[in-house]
Amino acid sequence: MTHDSTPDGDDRAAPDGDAELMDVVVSVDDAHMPTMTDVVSALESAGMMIESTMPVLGTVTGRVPPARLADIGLVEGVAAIEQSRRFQLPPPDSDVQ
Amino acid sequence: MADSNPDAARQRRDTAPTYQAPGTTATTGRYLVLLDSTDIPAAAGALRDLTSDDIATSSDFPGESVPSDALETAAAVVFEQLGVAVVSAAPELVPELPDRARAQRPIIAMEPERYVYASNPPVAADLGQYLHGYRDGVDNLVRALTGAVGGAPPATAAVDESQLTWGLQHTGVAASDLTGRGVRVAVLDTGMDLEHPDFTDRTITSESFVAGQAVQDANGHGTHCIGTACGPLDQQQQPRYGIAHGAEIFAGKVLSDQGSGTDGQILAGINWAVANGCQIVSMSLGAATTPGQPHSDVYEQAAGRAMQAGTLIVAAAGNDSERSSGVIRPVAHPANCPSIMAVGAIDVDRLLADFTNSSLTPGGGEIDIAGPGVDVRSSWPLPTTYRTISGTSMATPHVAGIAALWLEARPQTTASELFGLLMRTAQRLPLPSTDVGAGLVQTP
Repeated sequence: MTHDSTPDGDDRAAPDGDAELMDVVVSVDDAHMPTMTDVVSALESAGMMIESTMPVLGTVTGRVPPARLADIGLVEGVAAIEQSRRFQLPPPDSDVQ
Repeated sequence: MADSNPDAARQRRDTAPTYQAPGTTATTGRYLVLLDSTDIPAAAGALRDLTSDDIATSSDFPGESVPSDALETAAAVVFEQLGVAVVSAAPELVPELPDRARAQRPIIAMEPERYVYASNPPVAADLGQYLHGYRDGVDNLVRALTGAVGGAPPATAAVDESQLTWGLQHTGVAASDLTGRGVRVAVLDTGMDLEHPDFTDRTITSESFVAGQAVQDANGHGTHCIGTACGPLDQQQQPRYGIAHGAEIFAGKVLSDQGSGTDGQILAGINWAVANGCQIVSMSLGAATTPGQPHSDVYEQAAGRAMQAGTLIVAAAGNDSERSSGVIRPVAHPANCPSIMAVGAIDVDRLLADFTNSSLTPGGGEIDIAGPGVDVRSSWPLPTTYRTISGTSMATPHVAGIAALWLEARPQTTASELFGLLMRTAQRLPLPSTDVGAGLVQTP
């Protein structure tokens, strides 16, 4: 799949004109677990700003311009890509936590 | 002295009195004998001595398929795969048989063979009588084997928490000598108060996955959960509140001191725990879901890999419900993943916590098991030191700590087997499984 070659941003600006980057979590499929580093490189080339990789679990987290989401999903070896969820505990003085 | 006359055997059985104690179900006149299955030939020999008759063993027949007429004609049939024999005994021997059975080493126990019926729409009285008879038979066998008789769980009296928290009492922790020794338990939360006096002699491996924050817990939640899962045997102040006091503690800070975190931080914590050989990961955290919302494929794949690598992940089902107002919400993410054990909360009376979520979304969003989750006392950062709070967050580390005890007792258990083992051995509760899964987690 061809796409415009754009330099990786070194700040949070989204090259494709979208206001905000999306936090995503990606899982690598079983077949590509042995070559996960290649998948991570491909994700970067497709426009994902890599935050962290978890080699044992086969997951990668990072930021993606929403317009590039489809490209990320099409990277060879990607099993799933989801928007990252946030967690929030109740305040520490709550009775129920 | 073999009497190999099948007709004689049948005649004996036809004339044998049907033993029926009051309130029990009808028996066939034959006995089920539990053999020492480590030496079937010796057991068969002992049976032969006992009955003075020819016996048949299942290996005599093709495919180990014992035809029904063999059961009728042989004095005894040994089912080799099961280590059980069906024995016809002469009527005059009936009172002696259980004692003679115990005198023979390769025979472990003996009980009357019962008639078993297909399940029909029950006529209540007959069914009750059948069940009582079945229970009596089981009690007899237990008594014969152990000298003890099982019973129903004790009715809930007022619980004395001066020595032990109610949670440790109701889960059987108090009665166990197990410590979780040799097991690494990772608690992924707000970190740990590394200065807490109850943990000064424990080795705690810790790591922060929250940028700009150290593991030192300034929130409290993590310290409370670690306390429940792995707190000490001898704490500074009674009662005892901790389960796996001999386990190795891995404190992963995946939630900030403000109690917030992201998928990335949680996954990083799980990865760290698995890479460090933690057999159990306890996660008292969740993001609310909507009914029917699919679970995260990313987490499910990660959890499956963790399980393959030897790590069982246990997570809180979530506190989004308000049952007293009729509000029931589905299991939170990531507990709603099939490969993650979802823990619901019950109170001291073994009733549902008001806030505990339910199995509203199939395909992973089921409650698997329940733990003590209302008014749970545990450690808290100094100066408070101890605190009593509620939540599926509190139920979860009970399961994690008890899982460590199971692993110490059965070190060869895989993560996948441990999931099933905890559920199989849970105390069944008279509550919907949609709310408590298999029931209240129990110590070996």
